[in-house]
Amino acid sequence: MTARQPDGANPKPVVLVLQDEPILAGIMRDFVEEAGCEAVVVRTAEAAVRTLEWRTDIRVVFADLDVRGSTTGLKLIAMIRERWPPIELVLTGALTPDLDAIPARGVFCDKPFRENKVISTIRSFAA
Amino acid sequence: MGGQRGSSPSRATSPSRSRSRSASRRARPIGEAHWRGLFERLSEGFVVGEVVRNSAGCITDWRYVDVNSAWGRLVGIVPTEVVGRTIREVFPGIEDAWVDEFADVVETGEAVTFIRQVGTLARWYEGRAFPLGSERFGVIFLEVTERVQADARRSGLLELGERLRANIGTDAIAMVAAAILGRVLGVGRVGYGTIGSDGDSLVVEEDWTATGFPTLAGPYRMDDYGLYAEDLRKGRTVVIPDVREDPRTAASAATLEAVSARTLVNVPIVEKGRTVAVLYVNDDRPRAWGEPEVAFVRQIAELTRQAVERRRAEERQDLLNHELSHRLKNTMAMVVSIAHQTLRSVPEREPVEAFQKRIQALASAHDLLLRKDWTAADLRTVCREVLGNAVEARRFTLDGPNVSLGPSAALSASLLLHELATNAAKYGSLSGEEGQVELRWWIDGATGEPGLVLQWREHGGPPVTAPTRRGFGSRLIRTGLVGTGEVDVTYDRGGVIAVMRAPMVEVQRL
Repeated sequence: MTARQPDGANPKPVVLVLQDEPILAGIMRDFVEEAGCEAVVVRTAEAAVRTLEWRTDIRVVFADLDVRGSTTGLKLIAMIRERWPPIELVLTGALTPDLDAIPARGVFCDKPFRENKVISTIRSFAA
Repeated sequence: MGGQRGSSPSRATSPSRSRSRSASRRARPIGEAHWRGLFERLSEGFVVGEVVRNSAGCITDWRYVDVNSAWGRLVGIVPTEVVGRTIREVFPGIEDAWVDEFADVVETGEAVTFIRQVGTLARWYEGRAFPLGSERFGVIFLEVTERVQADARRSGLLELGERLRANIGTDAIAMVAAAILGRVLGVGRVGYGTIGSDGDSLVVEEDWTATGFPTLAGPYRMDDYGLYAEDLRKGRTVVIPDVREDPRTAASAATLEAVSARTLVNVPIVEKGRTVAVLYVNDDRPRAWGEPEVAFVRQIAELTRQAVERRRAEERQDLLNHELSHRLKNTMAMVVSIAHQTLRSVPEREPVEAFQKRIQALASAHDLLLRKDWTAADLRTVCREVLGNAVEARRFTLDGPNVSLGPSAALSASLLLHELATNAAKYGSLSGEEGQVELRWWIDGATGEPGLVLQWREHGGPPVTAPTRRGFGSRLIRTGLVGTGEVDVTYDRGGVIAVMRAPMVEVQRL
């Protein structure tokens, strides 16, 4: 993890990227940086929770709902809404999920990504 | 007239059967012997009964006045043991209907027919009860247990077939089968246990039980319950009428009876040569299992096994489909992003964007197909999806019957409509503020083989002219719905009209 410590002066908003596919993780990181934010990339939902517990400066979670692991993407999202209500959610996945299952303020970006839409969504949430 | 005394209702007051018989013989010797002989030769059971009333005058029971030898065979009791006793004395706990219905015959003077079980005997009887005058009635009947049970087994199989057609999970399939078996056989408990790879540990998650019967849910070691475990491991059905009598269970009878298993039928479920589960049928009293009953248990076990296997295959398929879709979508996302990065320095943006949008159109067709397990996509939804991504909803109208497209046609239609929409946005009716697109389709059967006709019509836009250069877009359009062409594009002054045709068999091909 290259992210700075939470107490360090960090002018850029921090976005947590959850993606287990390395190339896509790179692409998602690019989007985040393009939006003027700093990206913290994790590969599993468990790692995402640990990171959220440790770092208090994360404003947005940009997550793929299809990452493998014991915790599914949708479960993670529900947990984030419960434990860290202010965090904004940008979601993606193979299938558009049941929109009722996505908590309020979650935006779903279908694949293949429409670069402009993804970047502007991240930027507006991180602002 | 004295000769008729014997058949008159007052006969019940005769001091004893033998005296009344000899009295009749004296009065009408031929007649009595004749009727008696007939009565005894009947294969139907015959009963003469007399109702018993309580102090309030209500009929509460009835007494056997006479029964024939067929009665004895059909009921399993020596006839001379019952004459003079009441039905409630002979069959303690018998169903009230056996008293009430015959009471009605006496009270109303009207005959009735019945098919009913004597629960304590577990036998079914069909017959007719008729009044004999005064307080008496006659019943003539046959045993129909086998017929009733065969009917019940048949409808049990039908019911299982019906219930399995619904899309239910594997646990629910097993429970449905257990409940049907339990009800049809009239036993205490039916369920499935899964056997561990050691061939000895058995786990029951849940089972069907009759009211008040204990469940078997829990972990077990098969070898604790008798030597029949070995039969099950070898794939042999085990039928034990009474666990105390069978050499395989005599030593472990107490253990079995502690879980209310006095009788059992166990059918092994074998997969790849190994017994992986057992279907068990238990009851707490001995039972002589007939061949048709055991065959029925095996049939239900087999149908259930097949249904569970089918369901598992479907679940694996669903999982695989989702995984494949996930991979495919990721790949498309990578292709688009890599193209975006690679072509970042290309000054001409239009081809780059066109490329990205074509991939998007493919991806959306892929999504639609996946919703129906990659077997079909609805034409209207394909149109709405593609056009909805390109233009505002008020700029286009869709009109046509429900048509489902096979995977290839769905992909081609998506790309084709995407190209038409792109062209319309650049040069056609969607390039201005007010123009419209009208998309209509119908099935044309005039030429024999039914075909799909899809008509794209633009209007309200600027005048159009045929393009001079043929790009990839127009090549895509000319490919048609199923790759065979059959596309007519006319650059009418009112707007572009494209008519695409394809045989329905091709359109719906998997």
